[in-house]
Amino acid sequence: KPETAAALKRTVEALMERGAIVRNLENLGEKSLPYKISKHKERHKRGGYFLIDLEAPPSIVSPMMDHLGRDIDVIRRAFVKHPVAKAEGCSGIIPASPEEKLTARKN
Amino acid sequence: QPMQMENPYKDPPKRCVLCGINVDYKNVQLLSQFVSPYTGSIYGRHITGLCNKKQKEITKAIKRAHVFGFMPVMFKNPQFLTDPKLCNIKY
Repeated sequence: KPETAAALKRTVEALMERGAIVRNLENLGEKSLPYKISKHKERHKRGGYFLIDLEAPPSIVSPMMDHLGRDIDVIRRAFVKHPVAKAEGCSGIIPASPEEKLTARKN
Repeated sequence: QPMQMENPYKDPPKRCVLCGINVDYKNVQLLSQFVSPYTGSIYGRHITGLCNKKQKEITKAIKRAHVFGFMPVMFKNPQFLTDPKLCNIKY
């Protein structure tokens, strides 16, 4: 457990160094991985999942992926954009008009 | 003279199962309901009965969950095998 804490601390510090503002850090628990992952010459079966909420310029992404790739404690790394809540909600299934079905379409 | 108005007896548009629900790559239980328990393949639109947008969102979320190591690829997580059936499929 101190190793995970140290790894997290390293990551957050590296992020702050490059000018990222860390908003939140969530622990999604330690679970057994859905499939065995080989990384850094080891076959891993269990792992801890962490989610870091952050605001950063997009130029950070590639150097951070590099940095995390070299870290032995990190099994899989990823950056995901914040899901934006859409303005208009789901309006339901609109039945397609017969003219649409007759015109040629890419699908 | 008859007044022109749109059909007042029209039914409200049919909503799919996920019409109000926010789809996330993290809730593996929801995603696993649209995946085959035997092969782990994602069900098509004619089986799930979802609208265009939601089907696309679910597919993207499932692929993400596969890559990030949240959801197994070749099968369905046995923990979620007994979930209520949402898809129109007969085994």
